[in-house]
Amino acid sequence: MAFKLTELPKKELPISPGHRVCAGCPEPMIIKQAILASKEPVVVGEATGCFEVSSCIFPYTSWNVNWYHNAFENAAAIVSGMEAAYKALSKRGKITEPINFIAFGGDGGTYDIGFQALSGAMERGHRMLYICMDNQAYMNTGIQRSGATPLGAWTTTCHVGKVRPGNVRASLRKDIVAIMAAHDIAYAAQASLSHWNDFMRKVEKALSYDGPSFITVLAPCPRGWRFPASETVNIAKLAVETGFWPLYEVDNGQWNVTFKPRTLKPLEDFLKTQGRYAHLFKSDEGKEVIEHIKELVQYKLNYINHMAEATKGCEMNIFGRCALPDID
Amino acid sequence: MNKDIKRIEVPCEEKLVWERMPVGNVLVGGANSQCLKTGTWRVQHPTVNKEKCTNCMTCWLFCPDMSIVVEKKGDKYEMLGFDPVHCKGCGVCSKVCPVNAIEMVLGADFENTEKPFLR
Amino acid sequence: MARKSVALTGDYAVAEAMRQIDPDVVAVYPITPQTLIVEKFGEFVADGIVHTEFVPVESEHSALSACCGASAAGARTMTCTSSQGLALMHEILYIAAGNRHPIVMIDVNRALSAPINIHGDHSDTMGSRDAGWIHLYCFNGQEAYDSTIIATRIAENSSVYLPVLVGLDAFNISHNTERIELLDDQEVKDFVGEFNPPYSLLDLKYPVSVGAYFLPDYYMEARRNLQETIQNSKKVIVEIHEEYNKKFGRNVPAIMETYKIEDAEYAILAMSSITGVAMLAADELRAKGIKAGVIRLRLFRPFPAEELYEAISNLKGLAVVERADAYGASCGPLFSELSGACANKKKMPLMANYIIGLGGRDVKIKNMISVFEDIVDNVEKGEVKSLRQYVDVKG
Repeated sequence: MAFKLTELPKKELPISPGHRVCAGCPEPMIIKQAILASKEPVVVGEATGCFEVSSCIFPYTSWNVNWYHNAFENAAAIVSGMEAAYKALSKRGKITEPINFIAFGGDGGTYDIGFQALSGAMERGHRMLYICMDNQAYMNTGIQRSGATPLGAWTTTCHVGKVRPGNVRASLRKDIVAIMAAHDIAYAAQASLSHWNDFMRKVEKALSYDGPSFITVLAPCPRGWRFPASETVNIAKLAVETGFWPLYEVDNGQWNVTFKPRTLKPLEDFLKTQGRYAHLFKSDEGKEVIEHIKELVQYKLNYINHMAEATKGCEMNIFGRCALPDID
Repeated sequence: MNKDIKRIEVPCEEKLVWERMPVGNVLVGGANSQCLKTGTWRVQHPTVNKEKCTNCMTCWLFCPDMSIVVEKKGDKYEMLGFDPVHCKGCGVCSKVCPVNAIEMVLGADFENTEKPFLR
Repeated sequence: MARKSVALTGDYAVAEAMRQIDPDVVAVYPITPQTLIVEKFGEFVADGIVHTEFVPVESEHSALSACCGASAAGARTMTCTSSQGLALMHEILYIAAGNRHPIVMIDVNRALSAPINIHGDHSDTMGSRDAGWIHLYCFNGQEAYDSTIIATRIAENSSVYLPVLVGLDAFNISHNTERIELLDDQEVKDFVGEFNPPYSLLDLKYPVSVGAYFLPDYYMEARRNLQETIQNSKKVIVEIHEEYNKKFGRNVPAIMETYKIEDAEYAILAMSSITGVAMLAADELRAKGIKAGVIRLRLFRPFPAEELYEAISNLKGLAVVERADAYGASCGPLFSELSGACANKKKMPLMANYIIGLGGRDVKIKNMISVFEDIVDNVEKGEVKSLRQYVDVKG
């Protein structure tokens, strides 16, 4: 169901101005879109990170919804506790209204330090949505590399120096959506704040399932990726249009590409907008790395397309998950 | 639930003493950060050409600081301008507007801190 | 179900107490020797005897995190752990106290690695003593059962709202079967009552923000407030113990238990099950004409400085016997707490520190007798040669 932008202002905004994130920060945009997409009231659990630290500096808070921050690596664990409390109190008749639980975490709190808690919560089947605001590095502590930092990018712990050319790795980045899909959860998806209707529709769908769901959203960071603050949404759009950040979902095990650009723009259009990739354009080795990134982006796109092909029109197993046919 | 929950009202200028810290340092009552004037950060400010503007609400959706002022006129929403107390001058609104109705102008324009400004 | 006496291990007694309390959420991760609690409680959950939401998390860190989330959402929460688990959830211990979550945690006191050891000593809770939790140490399985119920009331008291840790020794208490007198189910339910949280994330009327970021301008005020709260909780702890004892005809000491201390000249100060051995040793010494006594400290946090000083001020010699040591420090944790609290007192006994029973090493009566004899010897000589000694070590 598409959201009508001109009717969205009817809802109360979940966050207020006066928070102290950088100008042009994508995190408040993501949080706004996600919570506006929920029909029922939302309770949020957030991991330590850029927006968490800047939105609630005692004694001021920018949150108009119930919000809980505990530590860096346990966003998924605290929300699973909240959800268990909700189930317990509902059973005793103390709570009657429906509430949606959303956990927000940065890529640090999701791919790396928070991975264990996330995997455990997804496996246990709590009814919660985990949204990763992926800015591809540990931005709050000063732009250090994380498991989500793509090949070739500059960060302060993989500098571009005399012997190392930025982030060196054997893959594009950790494929978190495939890992979450492997937990056999109802819904896992990749979205972008630039394609807000696609993202909000994914949030709505995720919240409708009685089980855990996961969405990772690209969050271009003006400070960490080195671009002017006004370009946040444009860069997120370019990431999608060049195939760097494909928009797809794994809906009950069925892979769907939710947005396919008619023609893929050349990847350089995306890379050259950011200072974190500037070094790749200045040398021959750099240009070689760009070719590697292109190859890996295509590799991932092919993987998603093959999975979409293989799971097209599949039958459902006993738990409503896509079941691939037997091979003799 | 605890029926004695009280709203913590902390006017922006008051200082809390240790004896009056709320239980668990919990802030009750919803957002109160509006008193922080993040508008003092900006070096450029947005202006909107209301003749081009179609009230599509795209700038309202994307503004990271919730600084697009909209008001209900009848059964539709109209974009009235920008919140000078909080707008950080990032310029995202000017880049996402589908009809290029918003332009960023150098200068912070601090004097106009009460009403939303329209140019 | 009326009151009855059953033969239960310490762990099972705690599980029975948890069953009668019927908390809203229990998030646990198994670790020897706490596993019996988890297993027994799991049986209750599977049979629908309790209404608890049982969350079998994937690590102790997530266990306490889930408890924090549940407690913030207004649910009565309990958990249990031991040594390495307590060490793993260390950072969340401070957070739970800072956020004032009234979580009750049963900790089966087990030694910390390395070297890895699954038997009893107090190094695990001593390593986390400054987090801001209330600490109660149990003498036997009966006291562990009583303490679990009392701890729930203490934690949820509206002038306290602090997490409480109940410690019982690994294997000596947790896996030893003894006669436990269980209360009636309804009696326990009436005693713990309903949980009235200080705030709730599920209360949509007033949005709450829990876990704000503090800059240097407010952090000290928050900490000062926590210190005041935990110090003032001692009063409440004593009151609740009195209420429990009166209602159920029990004799659970709130702060400490003393044995033959009225006219004693030499005493052993210890915690948990080893004090029983000290009491037997004191009897033997009394038979020889030495005025020996024993003090069993039960409330470790908040540290009851005045009450302890009153108990020891008329002694000639005090042996502080503990099941934990602080590596690199001049004395063990209990000794340093006591000495610090009595720093400026004029009248003090001669004190010495004895480390005993680490890693589950058996504590024998003859060990305690040797401790008494050593402190008597020190007093006769008028000086303490070695401030801290390890008792019963080969070599």
